[in-house]
Amino acid sequence: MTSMTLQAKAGGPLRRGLRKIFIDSKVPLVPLGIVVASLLVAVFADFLVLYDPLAIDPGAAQLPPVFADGGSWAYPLGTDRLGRDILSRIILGTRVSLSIAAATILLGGLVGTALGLLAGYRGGWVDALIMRTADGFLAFPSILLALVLAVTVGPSFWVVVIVLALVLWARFARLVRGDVLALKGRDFVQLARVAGASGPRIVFRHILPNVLNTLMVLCTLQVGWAIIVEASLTFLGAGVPPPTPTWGGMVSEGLDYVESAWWISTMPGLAILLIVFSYNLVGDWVRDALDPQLRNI
Amino acid sequence: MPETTTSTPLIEVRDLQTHLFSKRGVGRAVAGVSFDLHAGETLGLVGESGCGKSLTCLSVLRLNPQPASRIVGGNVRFRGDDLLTKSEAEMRQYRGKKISMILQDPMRALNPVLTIGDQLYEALILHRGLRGRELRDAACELLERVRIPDPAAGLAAYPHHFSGGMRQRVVGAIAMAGNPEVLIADEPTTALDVTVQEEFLELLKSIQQQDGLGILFVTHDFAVVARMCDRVAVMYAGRIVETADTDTLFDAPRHPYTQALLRSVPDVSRRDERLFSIDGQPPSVFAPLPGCSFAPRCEHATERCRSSAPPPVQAGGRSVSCWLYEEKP
Repeated sequence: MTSMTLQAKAGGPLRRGLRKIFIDSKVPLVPLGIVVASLLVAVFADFLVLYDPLAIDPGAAQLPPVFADGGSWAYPLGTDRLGRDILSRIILGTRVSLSIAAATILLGGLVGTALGLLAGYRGGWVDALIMRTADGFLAFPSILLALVLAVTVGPSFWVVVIVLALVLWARFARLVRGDVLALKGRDFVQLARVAGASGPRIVFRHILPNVLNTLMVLCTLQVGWAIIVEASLTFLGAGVPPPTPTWGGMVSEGLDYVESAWWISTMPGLAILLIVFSYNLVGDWVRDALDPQLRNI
Repeated sequence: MPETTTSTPLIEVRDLQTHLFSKRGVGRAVAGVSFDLHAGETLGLVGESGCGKSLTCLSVLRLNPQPASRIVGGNVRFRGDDLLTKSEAEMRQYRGKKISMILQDPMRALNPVLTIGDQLYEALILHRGLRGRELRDAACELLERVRIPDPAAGLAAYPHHFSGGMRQRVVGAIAMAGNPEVLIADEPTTALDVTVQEEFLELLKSIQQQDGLGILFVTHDFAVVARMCDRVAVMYAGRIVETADTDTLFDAPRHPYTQALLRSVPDVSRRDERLFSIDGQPPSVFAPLPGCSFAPRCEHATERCRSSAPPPVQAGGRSVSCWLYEEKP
């Protein structure tokens, strides 16, 4: 019995090879491939689309995807209720969604990290002021803020980015501050002070590199969050306004037709799932790869 | 360098007082500490945990934790310059360049995400303004000096590639990067095992002989004191109760606390005897006693000891703060 299980475990050369690539090696090939592909798609979306993603064709409305009954290769993922090609809209939506995520994380991450470093290192009233403000922003309903802004200045790409960044900076600040507080008391920071290093030098040279791991992981995890919140905002009409295709918008557009044309919501939904999942896995890998304890000499 | 006479101490601490500020009130953690440290000399600072040794060391560099503590009185002079009146920017010219420090735990003293080289370079850039080829050579030289095998490879290594003893030597190398005149060593060997400890002490001694370094050596290990120190200051409850040459102190300890401390050192040759321990606890820093702070644990204590604190009595290069020695110092 034991020998049989061992044999089954060892498997054939193909299975061993596959296991080596996908399980033993630490690089998450599939998610990493999806992340890279998503970035390429976002950049070259204009060349990749099969149809004009905005072109309405009432004659081709609600066509099913190729693998469903009545589908054809002409529209591989089917069409929506206005006859727009879903695949082309997902491709262009990749650019919109990832741009929003990137802009949000860049903006919120920079502001949040800077304020978190300041709060953690300086302490005292500076810390209290920054962190209570952060708490306020975390407690503030971002959807409500987005609705107010959408009504007053009109919904746009930048409204979404600013609303997301307003919440995101607080998350970065809180996390970074916590790390700084822990690092500040460490002996190597004390010794840097003994060596005559100035405050900014200690923060940027000794503390920041130790926070980078956490930052990288938070960044990759927030890609998924940004895409999902952007989807909710678009669903409420406070997101990127139509006709610009966004994944969240596409999901909400198709909701009324789920029984007759399930693919309209499902396809962009799968895209969200795939991207969020992939970015999270890559985030885990980045964390491990950045850990010097695991790095070889 | 205003070196007037050879007897001018490198470091002169007079009546240094550092208080802790917490919800429990004001804690007199360093309550009037005085000592001198001369070039080429090792002064041991001995005392039990919590007596204020580390805070004294940090106060000398003005790196006592703030705002939890504040230096409220006294003087710290380096070659006659009053350090307590310097600005933060001026203090940075002393830290690492004139006065350096190493800490107890080498496992935590190095930045885990920077290579050994980066950490050495930083100190060298900061203190000597070196760059390029010179920088690398100086770093290699420092590692060689602390006897790290294969210094060139050592520069590219991360701290976790090194053992505890090697790390403490690297910490030593970083501390020496600015060619300081004073090294404050806060229990540098406590976290090392005995053989590694011996190696490190020997290294410190040889560096001291080459550079004429003044070392303030904090420890609670009398074996290390006997091995390293020229003079010893015994600290109790925020005060130095006795200062003497190492030999004198071991031969004829005067302060009852010093006597008790030396009696509680385990002797390997008399292993079946019960270890001596001092009854009671040191007073809380938040509730200072009106008299001698050792009085409640002292077998010689009189009414006078409990009511007023004894001043230090100087005689023959030694000093003791105890009413027992008032008339015949």
